Amino acid sequence: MYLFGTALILAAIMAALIAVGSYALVPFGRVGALRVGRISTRMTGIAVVAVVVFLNYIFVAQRYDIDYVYNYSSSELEPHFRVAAVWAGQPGSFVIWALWGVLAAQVLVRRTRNNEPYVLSIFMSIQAALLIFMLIRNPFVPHLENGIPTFPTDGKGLNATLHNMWMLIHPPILFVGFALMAVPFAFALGGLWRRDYDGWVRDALPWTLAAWAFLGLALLLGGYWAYETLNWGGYWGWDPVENSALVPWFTALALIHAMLVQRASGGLRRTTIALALMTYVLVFYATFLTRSGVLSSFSVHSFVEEGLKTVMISYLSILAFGSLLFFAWRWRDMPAKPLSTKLLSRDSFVVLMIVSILVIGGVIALGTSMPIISAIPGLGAWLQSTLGGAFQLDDGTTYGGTGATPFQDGRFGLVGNFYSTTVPPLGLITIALMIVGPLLGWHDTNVRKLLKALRWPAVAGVLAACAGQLLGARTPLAVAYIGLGVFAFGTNLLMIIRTLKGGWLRIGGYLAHLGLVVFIIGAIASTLYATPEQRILVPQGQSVNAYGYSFTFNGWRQDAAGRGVLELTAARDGRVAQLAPQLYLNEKMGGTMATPAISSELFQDLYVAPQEYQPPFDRNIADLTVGQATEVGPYKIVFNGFDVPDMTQAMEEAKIGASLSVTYEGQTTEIKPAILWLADETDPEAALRDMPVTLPGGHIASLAGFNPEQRRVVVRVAGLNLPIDPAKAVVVVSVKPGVILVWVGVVVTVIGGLLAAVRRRVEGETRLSGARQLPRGLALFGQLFGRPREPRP
Amino acid sequence: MTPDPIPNLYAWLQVAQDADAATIAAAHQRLRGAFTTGTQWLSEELRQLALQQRQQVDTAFAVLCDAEQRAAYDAARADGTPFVLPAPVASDEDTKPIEPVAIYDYAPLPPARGTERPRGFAELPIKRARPSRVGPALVGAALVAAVVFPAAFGAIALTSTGAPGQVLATPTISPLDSFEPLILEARAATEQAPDDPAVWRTYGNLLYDSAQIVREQAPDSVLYQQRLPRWLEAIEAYRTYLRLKPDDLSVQADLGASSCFYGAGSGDQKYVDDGLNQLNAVKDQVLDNPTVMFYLGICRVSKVPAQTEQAIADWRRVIELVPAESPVAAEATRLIAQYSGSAP
Repeated sequence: MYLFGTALILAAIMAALIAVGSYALVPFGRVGALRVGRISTRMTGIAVVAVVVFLNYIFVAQRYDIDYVYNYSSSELEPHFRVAAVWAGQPGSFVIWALWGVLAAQVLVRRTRNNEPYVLSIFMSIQAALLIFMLIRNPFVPHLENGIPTFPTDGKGLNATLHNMWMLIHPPILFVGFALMAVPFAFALGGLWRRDYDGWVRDALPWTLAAWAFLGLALLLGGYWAYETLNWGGYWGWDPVENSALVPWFTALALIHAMLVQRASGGLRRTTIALALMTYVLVFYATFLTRSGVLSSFSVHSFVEEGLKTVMISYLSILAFGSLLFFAWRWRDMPAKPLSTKLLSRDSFVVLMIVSILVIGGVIALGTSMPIISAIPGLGAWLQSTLGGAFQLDDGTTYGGTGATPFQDGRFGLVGNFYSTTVPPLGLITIALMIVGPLLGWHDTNVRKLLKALRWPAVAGVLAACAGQLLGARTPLAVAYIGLGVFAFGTNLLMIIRTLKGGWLRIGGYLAHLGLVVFIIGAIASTLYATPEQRILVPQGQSVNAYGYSFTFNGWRQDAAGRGVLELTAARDGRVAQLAPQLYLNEKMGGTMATPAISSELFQDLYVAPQEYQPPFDRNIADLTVGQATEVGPYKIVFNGFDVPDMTQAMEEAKIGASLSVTYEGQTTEIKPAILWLADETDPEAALRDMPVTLPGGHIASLAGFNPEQRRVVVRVAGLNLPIDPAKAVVVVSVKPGVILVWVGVVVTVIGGLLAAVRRRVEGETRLSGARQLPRGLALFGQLFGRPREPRP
Repeated sequence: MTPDPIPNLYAWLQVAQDADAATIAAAHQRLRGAFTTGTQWLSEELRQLALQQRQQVDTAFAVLCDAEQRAAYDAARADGTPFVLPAPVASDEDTKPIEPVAIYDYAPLPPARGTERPRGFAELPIKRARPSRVGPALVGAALVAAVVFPAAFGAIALTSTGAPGQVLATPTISPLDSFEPLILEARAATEQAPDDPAVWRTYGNLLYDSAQIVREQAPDSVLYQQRLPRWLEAIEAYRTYLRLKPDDLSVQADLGASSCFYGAGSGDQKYVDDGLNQLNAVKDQVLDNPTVMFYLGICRVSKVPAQTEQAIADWRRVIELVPAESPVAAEATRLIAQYSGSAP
């Protein structure tokens, strides 16, 4: 297994390296090498697919003699989760990343035209690097126990947090995004190499849009997963792993806009290339941050394996400095074309937008990298005192779990509070740009017409701001967001209506703007308008009111997987929602896991996070260990020890008694309630006979249960008729309005991005074939999936 | 040699005279595929050549696939009377113009030197030159195979603790079979020009060599047993040659040697005697020819009972005649050592 899998990885690496080498020969006039490059690219694809199939096979076939399978799978795992367990660990995530990469390479071979040798030699070198990481963190290593290969009968199983439907979808889509982000990088470097500073943009644009859309979708799915299963109370926790994927998403967004300017007017050449290079370096930086273990004390996503640190740092430096060097080398050769000097032009607004987006991305990147920046000697302490005044700091204990000690060397991380303070004001600028930008012409704008177009959306924005205030906006920022958001929604809707005449393919960009606005309004509503979290205690069978809901606790049960479930109902206006938040002990994670319950309504979500379950408490019962004292009604009972007579004589019966000291009205007496076991009795009901004792107050005490190992007894006092305290559920409830807008917004944005990708792809092909109009209907699909058209002779 | 009035259609289709209809159809199919003109990478010259070849194949097939026409053709060929071949029919594959394929120019663009390029500059530069495709493809495939698979199997071999795996034989054309394609060509040539002695001589020599190479390198193999009839074919070819050109002594010597070898291999003394006679006759006419003496020796030891002393005497004579370092001398020395040791 190990040998075969390793040989497959080695074959893939070799084929990828041959592809790199032979493609790199083509620009030097060795056109024949092109063929070799293509063949080896195909062979890399075959080899990587074989690796994936083989890895899937060993998971499905339950080969626990492979360490990776042993660590992430078990026999009780459902078949589809066995497949998903492939990407549960670090080696597997490289496998899936490389898979999407080489599959994209197969398409790139046909779609890159003159740029083929340039783009593919760079792209395949990236794949080769991923495959080398895969080889270093070899998923086929056999399982060793004390250095001896063993075949355990069962694996350790999948982490309970990952044992979730989203595990099947979220990671593969994230890696589609990551893999596709390498395409604009390869195109940009290839463009520099070929001195083709404009042509690469046409071919790279659809890929960039697709990469951006997939990354956005992955962030959405990750957010939804967190919202649904983690007890955070939100979809975005500003966790380093989330942030590090968000930053390239922002730079990719800036890149797309810069590319559009370059396609329209030829400006922003250097910016486009710089952004394309930066985006992929950031993707890799994100991987470095989250996979090398540098942030292991600062994130809930605990990837603590440090095995790849050196290799990844070297590769990241090669990537960063190599592309910087290439960029500097061609800097003087690149012509620079001036942009429009008018402020009210798309050129200017896109530049402003790029700046604002980069500032936001920069702030997030800075915050996320703080554990690394503050590790620089001397800087850490200074930063800690400077930032500590304004923001909450994490000294390594927030996510470190039990036993984490604070860092003494000045290292610290920033938590959500930093981002939620800095990002929203900056985001407001971006929204403001999004209001006017789409209405402008590329070079100049008729101000009169612009004002006319702005009229109705502005009215809508003002009304929305007023409504927001009436609905109880708590901060001016929230009001500003609502007002400007609705304004931007209006102008972009106007642009969609205008462009629909030219075909629905053209609305992608405006649709993405629209989705983004919807998302932002949803995000503002669900955070700034959310009710404060209220902790409520619901006794079983009773109802407690909170936020207009009547919560009833119906009991605690164990589900099929052995997890504790609190069964609650929430009733409002005659509608009853069943809620089943989970609370259970996860031995693998070493802590109590809590999964919230969410009841979604159209405009708001009821979010119930479980905190604690208190089992029912019977006041007539004393549960005692040796030496312990408890009060039951008027009695104070102390358990002195078991009273077991000599068992060697009488074999027909056995008696187990408890020696108790009972204090009643100041007098202490010794009693010995017992349980008699009759050996001759065949009826099991009658075999155990209770031997109660009458207490000084006239009540009867009996031994209700005992546990010799724990040295524990349960004594029931009858006749007191004290009340039984019911079981209680402690939950934190909050109402989050507009959460649905978050999901809808991102989905619309992703659809817009994909639509734009389709349009740019079709447009690129159409321009080359000399046609003036974009195809419609079925012809569209022919252009999308058919062979690339030959250019005009 | 007079030119053949009727072309040999069997040779055109590369089939035997007595080939059945299925063989003819299969040969036609195969050759038609080989001489396709649709490939856009062919030069015009090669295309014309392929077209010509394919029309020949089609013509031959048109005649031979029809039993009546074939009988008429065979009769005409036997009598030497003229036979009118049907006119070649051009397929639309040949008349259709081949669209030139755009080949992208992969060279880097000239430096821009910081100045704006004209609009549409180098949008998609296209080169019409056609790179040779087959060569690089083969080189590439070989390169990839040479690196990837040894790497893969090397990994297995390096990391496996057990016995090293068996070395896989590389399937190449054995040198023992190197004459086979040439023999086919030569045989076709003898059919084309049965009166040309040079053709028969070449054919005979090829048959001789193809058997001799196995006799020298693997005399005990099954392959040599299979090749034995080659000697008979060679004898036949040399006989035909000698009928056309009776006084060629070197061919007569080869004939004798072939006969001897067949006799030795099959154990048929008649052929050994026949070969001895031939060689002796040659020896009488050309004195002291080392080759003749060498083979005569082999013939003598093949006889039952073996004339070992005479053979050794012949080989000693060979050693005297040729330079000491020549392969024949070395071989003769070896044979002397072999047979003097085993001689009673």
